[in-house]
Amino acid sequence: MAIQNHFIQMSNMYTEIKELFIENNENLDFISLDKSVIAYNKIFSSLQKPIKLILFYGKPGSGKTVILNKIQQDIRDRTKVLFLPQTFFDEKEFIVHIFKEIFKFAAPSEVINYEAFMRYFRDNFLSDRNNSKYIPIVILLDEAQLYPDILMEKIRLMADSGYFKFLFTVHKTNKEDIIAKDYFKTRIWESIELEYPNEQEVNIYINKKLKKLGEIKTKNIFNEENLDFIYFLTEGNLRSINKLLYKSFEILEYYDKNKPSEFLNKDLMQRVLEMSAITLGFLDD
Amino acid sequence: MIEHEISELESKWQDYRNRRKTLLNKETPKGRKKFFVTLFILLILGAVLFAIYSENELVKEQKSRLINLVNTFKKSNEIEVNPVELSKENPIRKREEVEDEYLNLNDLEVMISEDGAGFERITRRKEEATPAPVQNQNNPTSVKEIVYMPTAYPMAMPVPAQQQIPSNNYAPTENQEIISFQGYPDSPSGKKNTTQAKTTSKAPNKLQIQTKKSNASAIDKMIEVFNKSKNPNYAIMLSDEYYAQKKYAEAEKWALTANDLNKDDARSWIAFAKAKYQQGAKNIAIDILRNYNSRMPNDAVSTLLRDMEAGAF
Repeated sequence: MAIQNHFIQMSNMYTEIKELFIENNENLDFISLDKSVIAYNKIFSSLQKPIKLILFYGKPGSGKTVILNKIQQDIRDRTKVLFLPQTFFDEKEFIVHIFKEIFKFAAPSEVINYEAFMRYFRDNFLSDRNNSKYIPIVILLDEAQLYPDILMEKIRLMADSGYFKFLFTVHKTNKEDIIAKDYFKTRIWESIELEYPNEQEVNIYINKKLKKLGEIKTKNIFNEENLDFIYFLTEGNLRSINKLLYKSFEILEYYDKNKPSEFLNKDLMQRVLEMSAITLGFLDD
Repeated sequence: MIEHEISELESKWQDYRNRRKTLLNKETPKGRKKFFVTLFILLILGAVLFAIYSENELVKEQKSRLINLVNTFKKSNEIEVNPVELSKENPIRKREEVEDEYLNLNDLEVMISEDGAGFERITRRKEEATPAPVQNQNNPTSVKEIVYMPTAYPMAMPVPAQQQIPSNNYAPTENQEIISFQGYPDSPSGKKNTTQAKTTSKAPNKLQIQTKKSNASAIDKMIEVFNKSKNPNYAIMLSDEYYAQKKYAEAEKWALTANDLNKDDARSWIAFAKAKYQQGAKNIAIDILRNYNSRMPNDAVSTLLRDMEAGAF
């Protein structure tokens, strides 16, 4: 009976840890790493300047979305801020969405494009604020490289009006390509890059994630070799780290439930990491 | 996860592990480190071994060459040393080889040439020299000696009176010469004669070396050494030796042998061309020198070629 309880308890532990690495809104907690803190501070400082457009770029999985989430949480008490994690390909959808976010009700049937939206905005939103200093609405756009050019042109016009301040988050493929785009060429007042965390920062990232379940519970889960291997496989891509560790703890969860004798092997974690890497294509099988 | 997935994954992992066991796997951080460390160590080791091996080869080659030369010299020459009244006051030194004849200082003459340090050359002409001692009379050979004598310096060592006799009939020979220290730059005047006068009362101190050379055995020895080592340098030496003996066909043969071993060595081409030239094949000699020079320009070859073309060789 006692052994069974132990297994149940262990099983629960790996299930819990596994869920720490699922990428969802609950896990968008900002984890302070040197590079992410620097990027966060730069963005925060830029938003306080009279800048209409901010370009925030970095490689996929460098943690841009998490920083945007943190920015939104931190400035929403000071100004109106909209965070658009999903991409819009259609002008009407975009206008309807931001209308609802700003006015807190569905857009009237006539407000289906940029011109109608701006007219409605001036007539209804600004008229209420004549007596106070206007603070532009901050709109955070994730995956901005996916927006169609025509919509980007409308967004640029919205920024030029001075009523909105946009922060574009872009996957870095080639910085020159991004800057070369017409709508960024003349208007970017600030561009901020987020690089992949280094090996030490990756270790901090994993440890901080694990500590959410309590230090005692998750102590010594990974040894130095495991952490080296994780960095070697992912090169600091946080999304890859999350996938790798999710898969690893999923395998451990299975072993815990079905093959507990595997835990007698002191190199089990390394083996599980290798198995996960093979499954995810990080290693050739 | 279902059991089937895990089994499949374990099987894939086993394959991966088996591959990792192979030497110098670079798919893990450890493996990569090991790979580069091993590579680095191997490079260092290789460099060290190469250095040691090269050094050994060099030392061995030098040693064997030295041993061969010493053996050759020992067997082909008999050296007889006759020290005669070697005193501290008379630092007369003898250089170069002496063959079957003793030096007699009575036969020396003072040459007119004097070098920058005031050294005066005293030479003896063989034809007018005093006959050699009896035991050597039947063995006439060439004699070549150089004796350095500080004659003009005050308190200098005594010089035999015969040396002071200048003779216009004497001409310097190639075979024997004495370099005197006469005419030392700071020599006080008036002392010279006194010093020279003193020297007349004493016999000259000298070191006599008697050498018997057997050219035939030396060549045989050299051939033997060459056959063992196959060193082209010996082939060139043999070619030169035969050339000196005017055995041009042999000289040509050994030049070709040297050339076979090292086609880029200008000396073998020069030796061959000289041998050919001496055998009347002037055009062939010039052709092969031109051929070599067009491939690998060489000053010695150019000079020889120029001489041969001008007929000045």
